[in-house]
Parts: sequence; structure tokens; C-alpha cells
Amino acid sequence: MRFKKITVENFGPFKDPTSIDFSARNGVSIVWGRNGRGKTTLLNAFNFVLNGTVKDRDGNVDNFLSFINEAGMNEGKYIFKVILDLENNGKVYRIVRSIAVAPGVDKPTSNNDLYTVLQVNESGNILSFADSEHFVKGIMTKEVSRFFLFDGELLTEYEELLNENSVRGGSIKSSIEQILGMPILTYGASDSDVAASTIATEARKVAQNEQAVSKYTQNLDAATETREYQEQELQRLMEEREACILRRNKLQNLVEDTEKLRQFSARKKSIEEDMERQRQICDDEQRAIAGILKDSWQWMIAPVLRQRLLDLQSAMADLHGKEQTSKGQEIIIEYIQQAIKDIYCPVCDHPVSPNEREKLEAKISQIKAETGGLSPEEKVQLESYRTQQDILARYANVTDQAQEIKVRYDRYVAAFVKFTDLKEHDLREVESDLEALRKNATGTDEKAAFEYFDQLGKVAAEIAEYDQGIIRVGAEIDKTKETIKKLNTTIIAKSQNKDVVLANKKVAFAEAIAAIFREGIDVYRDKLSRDVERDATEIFMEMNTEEDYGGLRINENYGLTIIRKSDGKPVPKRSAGWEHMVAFALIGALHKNAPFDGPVIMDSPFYRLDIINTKSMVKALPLIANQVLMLPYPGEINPSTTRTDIGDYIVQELEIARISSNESTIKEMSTND
Amino acid sequence: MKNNLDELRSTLESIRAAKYPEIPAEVISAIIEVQNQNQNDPTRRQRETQKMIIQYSNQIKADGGNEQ
Amino acid sequence: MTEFSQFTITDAAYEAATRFVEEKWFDSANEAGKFAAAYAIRCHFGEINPGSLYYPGGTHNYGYSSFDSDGSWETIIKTLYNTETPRAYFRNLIIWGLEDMGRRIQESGILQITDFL
Repeated sequence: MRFKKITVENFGPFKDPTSIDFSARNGVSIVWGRNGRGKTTLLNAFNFVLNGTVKDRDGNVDNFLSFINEAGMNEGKYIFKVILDLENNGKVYRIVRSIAVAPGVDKPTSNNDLYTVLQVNESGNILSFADSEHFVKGIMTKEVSRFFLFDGELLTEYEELLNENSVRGGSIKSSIEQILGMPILTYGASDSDVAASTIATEARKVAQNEQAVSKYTQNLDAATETREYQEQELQRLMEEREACILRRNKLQNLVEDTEKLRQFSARKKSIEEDMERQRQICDDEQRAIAGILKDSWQWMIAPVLRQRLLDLQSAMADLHGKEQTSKGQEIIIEYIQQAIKDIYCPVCDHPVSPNEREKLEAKISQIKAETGGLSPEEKVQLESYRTQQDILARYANVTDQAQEIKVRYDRYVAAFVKFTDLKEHDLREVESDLEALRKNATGTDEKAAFEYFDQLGKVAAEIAEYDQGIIRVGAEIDKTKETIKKLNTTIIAKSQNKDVVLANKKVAFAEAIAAIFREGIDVYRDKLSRDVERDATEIFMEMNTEEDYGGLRINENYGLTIIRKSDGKPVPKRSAGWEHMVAFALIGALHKNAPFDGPVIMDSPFYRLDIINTKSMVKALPLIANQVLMLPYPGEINPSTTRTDIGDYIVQELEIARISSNESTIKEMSTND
Repeated sequence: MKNNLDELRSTLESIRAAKYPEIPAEVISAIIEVQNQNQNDPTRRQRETQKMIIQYSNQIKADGGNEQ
Repeated sequence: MTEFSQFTITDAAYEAATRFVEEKWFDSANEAGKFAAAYAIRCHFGEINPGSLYYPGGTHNYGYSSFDSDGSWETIIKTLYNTETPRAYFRNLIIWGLEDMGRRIQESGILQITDFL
């Protein structure tokens, strides 16, 4: 299939009919357009003409009113039209899809006032509506179009393919298998089975009347009835499993949507637990400090008391000394008086003569004269000092606990600061995030968020049970089929009736066809997988700038991982840019292996890439499809280096030029930039 | 570059030739074509496939030969 | 000399004591008062002359024995300051200590117990 020309009229910014003529030769067409000029509108034009659908920037689907050109609307033109000319299998087609105003409506004010019209012209003949629909659907279904008409921003969804259990990955895998032709085999097998069943029913009717085989035909009837019952049971299980899968998908979306809610809730809980720990530390330390402070006055004043004691001792020293001296002399006087009294000196060990007595009495007088002892005032003073000393000594020897309080207080303050930080900053932040989430996810609270998670687990278990049931019933059906086959063989062997024999041969014929298709499924799937891996690797390696990247490896979902040369292991977490490159290689490989031809139209394909990888991808564009239409903005890629990189594969360069704020057109680009 | 159903045809042909040689290659090709043309119309797809199989099966003779 | 058995403290002193109790550093104003007097002695002994301080009567009334149940304070102050009116001195030290701590807390904005040690 080749696109020849697309024409848009009154669609988006394109008021007057404006066209892109695809060249007859293979290659890359580039349509440059600054932001807001109409690039994404062109992508929508292809989607509209092929699938009858449009999607605006806000994600609203089929808001046709918003796609009517504003200037045209003001002039009373309330329709728009997209025309696609193409060639397919040697025939020329013109697909015209437009919107029209519903009867009785003068000026449309909502999408209900509009309806779509489709007309297909095949080599000059207008097809009926049914045939037109059939033809257009046959070109490119919605599921397949994601691989032909894509917005670079949507390449992120291919990352889902890497997760073999991902629900979205599974959906994309199904689209990929559709593009690769797998449904031809799967439906070929099931439709052949249906045909075999129909023929078998006819065969049974023929055999019923023959005596020689009536016993076997009766058993065959019973076996057929059993098989029908088993197939009904299988159908029921599959339908219920499907319903479970729908529930699971919904829950999966809810779980994904509420993942943030759960995360924030868990974070909030963690913060609150931490706050409680810090608050407990504060309380414990404060309690301990308060305990120490209870009778703290005693050790607090102790230093002053100790100093006062020292001062007292200093003041007492003289008086005390004087007192001691006075006491000593009193003892000497007493001693001398005793010697005088006893008229005997124990020191000299001889009697005291009258002369010596005189000297001794003179000595007493001398001693008394030389030392006066403490005056009465001094005695009182000394006594007072002693009393003070006793009192102060009682209260001065208490261990100071200021240091312990300081240590505990530091711990208290640290815990308090942590507590307030958690409360005023962390908790507020997470509560604000939760509030914002609650506003956006109406009807969802934290409790529900965790419940979805639990329910998802339960549904997964239910699906697993259904899987078991389907396998079991499938095995029973196979057994019954085997029984039926044996009975048919017996009937043929024993029957004398040519019609019976013939009918059963026809059944065997149909069953053999079904078996061919069925056996082909795994074989073809394996082959496709290998081919897609090989072709994607080829395209990837053309673009690759990393020395250690050796190729790509495919998984069951057609997800591709990059394999390192050095150790043959997958690159664990690749950047968004490399993700982009791998997705691009996959697109190219799918095109190579799809059973039908088609162009690739790309809007903003390079937005996640650095300069080097952008250049590599530009060079690889001719590899992905025969016709490539690229819609970049200036600055996304460099015009002059792009021309060099793509070289002769460029078939044309156009640009979306602005006529006014609500009108653009497409014209040939001047290459003098 | 393009597969154009050839890969699919050759896969089924290998299976047919090896295990089901009594089945004509044409019927497989015809069914592939019917399936391909009617991917988006399940009713038509099933009906045409059944018609194709019955048409070919009607060529089978009771004595083991085909009318073809 | 027989001194008073009841006395009052100033509003400012009372406010400071209340703050200490509210923030759970002490169980009662009495404990806070004793701490305040000890603070005044420990940190400002040479600066203050409790005998020359004057605080008029107020509305916050307390029994003396609730501050000095065993007479230790009276003995210590009598000795330390060589005064025959230790109770009056004690009252002045309590009020001075509480008011000074209150002022410092107000200036700094926070009550940091270690500032008074």
C-alpha cells in the first residue's frame, strides 16, 4: 500500500484545501512546523480519514467541533474534510471522510450537531457504505495504527512491553500480533473448528439411520453432547475469566492511580511514628531533668557555700592560731605554778630554791605580759566563725549536677527540633500532597487505596483459578474429541454407507485444516519473534553509539532489552532516550515483518533524545518503512545536517506556514536556511 | 522488506506438507486470504472461511479420491 | 526576731514561676521559687544585696513553710548573709531570681533551663 496524497480542508489551522503530495519514490518526506502551526493536526488528519477519530491536546476524543477551522467557522463553513489518495494491490483509491451538520441545525454548537460521512472511490467507482467501511477498516485498524501514526510522546508506552505481567504490555502485545498477522492463524484455527463442527453435525445425521453403526452413532451423539456441554462450560469459564480480567484491569488502573496515595499514606504514617519517637525522647529527658531539678537548690548553692567556708577558714586562721598559742602558754604557766607549789621541778629533777622560785614567778609574769590570749570579743568572734563553719559544712558537700542536666537538655532539644521539623515541614508536605491527590481522585481515600491493592491480589488469584479450570476443561474436551475421533473411525470402518464414509472424511478434512492453523501458531510466533529481534537489532545497531551495546533481546511481549557486549547481560535500567531508540527499532522491525505495507507518520519523534542519538535516529529513518513522513519542529533537528544525514532518501521538504493566527498552509520549504 | 503473508504461508505449508499432505495447499492459501481480507468483520470472516472449507470438502469422493 | 509566716510575690515573679510549671520543669511555683533563689545565689551572689531589695506586697500569697519546710534555707541564709531577717532575705532572693529569669526568657524568647545553671 502506498499513500499518494492527503488533502485537508477547513481542518484545524488549515482553512483552504491544502495537500501533501507523497512522491512516487520511496523515502522520507519532512514537514517542518513550529509549535502550534498544525503538525499534530496533520497526524489527527490521518487518524480521522482512516479511523474516523480525532484526539485533541487535552485527550478529548472526537471533539470534532474543536477541529473546525476558526476562520472558516466565522465565514459560516461548519464542515471539514480529509481526502486520502492511495494505491493498494494495483488499484487506486480515494477515501473522503468529512463531518457534516445534522439536519435542522443552522450552526453547530456541540458535537451532537455533527456527524461523519465516509465515501470511498475505487478506481473511479464509488463503493457502497458497507464496502467503504470494510475497505477502510482493512487498511489500518485503530490497534495497528499506533505503529504507523505515532506521536513521539507515546513511545513511553512501549516500555510496558518489558514487563511481561503488565496489563498495558499485554494490550500492546496483542496489537503487535495483530500487525504481524497472528489473528490469521488463531481465527483460522477457530473458524476451521466451527466448520468441522458444522460438517460433523451433518455427518451424524447421515449415520443415525444405519443399523450396523447405530450403537456407535448413539455413542457419538452422547459424546458430541458431552463435548457441547464441555465447550459451553469452557465458554462460561472464559467469559467469567474475561470479566475477571476486566475487573483486574480496572483495579490495576485504580492501584496505579492510587499508588501515590498509598505511598503518601505510608510516608505519613512513618513520619507520625517518628514524631512519636521524638516526642517520647523529649518527655523522657524532660522528666529526668525535672527529677534532678526537684531539690537542685542544694547543689546549686553549694559552690557559694564552699567559697564562704574557705573565706571563713582564712579569717579563722589568725584567731585560731592565737587561741592555740594562748592555750600552750597557759599549760606552761600551770606547769611552772605546780613546780612552785611543789617546790620541785620535774624537768630539772631537783628542788626549787627560793632564788629559783623568784625566777619562776618572774617567768610567769613575763609570759603573761608577752601574750594576752584572745580578747573576749575575739573569743566571741571565733565561736561565731565556728558555728558558721559547722552550718556551712553541712550543706556544702553536695555533688553538682549541672553537667548531667546539660547533657540531657541537649538530647531534649535535639529531639524537640526533630519533632517540630517533622511536624511543621515533613508532615505538612505529605498532608498537602495527600490533599491534592484526594481532590484529583474523587471518591478515593487512603483506606480505599489499600483496599484496591488487596482486591487486585484476590482477583489475580481468581484468574489463576479460572486458568486452572480452563486447562482442566480443555483437557476433558481433548479427551472427548479423541473419543469422537475414534468413534468416527469405527463408524467409517464398520459402515457400509458411502455417505457416512464421505461425511466423516469431510469432517477429518476440516479438522486437519484446523490443526494446520493451530500448529502454525507457535511455530509462526517463534519465527516472528526471532525475525523481529533480528530486524530490530539491525536498526538499533545502525543507530547505536554506545560501544558496549551489542544488540537487542526479545521477550514474550515483544519487549526488547539492550544486551551488553562485555558480559552478554541486559542493561538493567536504561535512560528515557535509549528507551526511545529501542521503541523506534521495534517500530521498524514490525513494519518489516508485518504482512501488509504502509507508511509511517511521526510527530515529534526526537523529543527525549540528545543531539548524538537524534542524529543516529534521523539517519535510520529510511530503514523503517518505504514511505516515512516526519513532522518535526525547527530546533528539534537541524535542517541542514538532517539533509546531509538522510541524503538521497529525502523526497521532499515542506513547511507549515502561517497565514494568520487561525490559518496555516503547507508549502515547499525554502532550503536556504 | 515486506512479509506480505509469504512467511505465514510458508510456515503453514511446511506443516501441511509434513503432516497433512492430503490437504490441498490451495485451501490453506485461500483461507489465509479470507482471514486477511476480513480481519475487521468477524461474521464475514467466519462465514467465508466455512464456505471455503465446505467448498473444498465437497470435492472429496467417498472412495478416497478428490474431484479435482 | 520573729518573722512572717506568709508572704507574697510580685506578678512578674509569679508569671515566671507559672511558665516554668507550665513547661513542666517544676511541679509547683514553690519549687520554681527555690530554684530561683538558688540561681540568684549561685550566679549573682556578689551582685545582689537581698537586704536592700524591696518588693511591695502582692496578690500571690504563700506559706513560708511551703518553701522551707525544715528551716534549712533560713539557717543557710542567716549564716551566709549574717542577718537576723533570713526569711525576708529569702523572699527577696526568690522574687529577684524569678524576675531575672523571667526577663531573660522574655529577651531570648525561649526558656532554656541550662541558662540558669
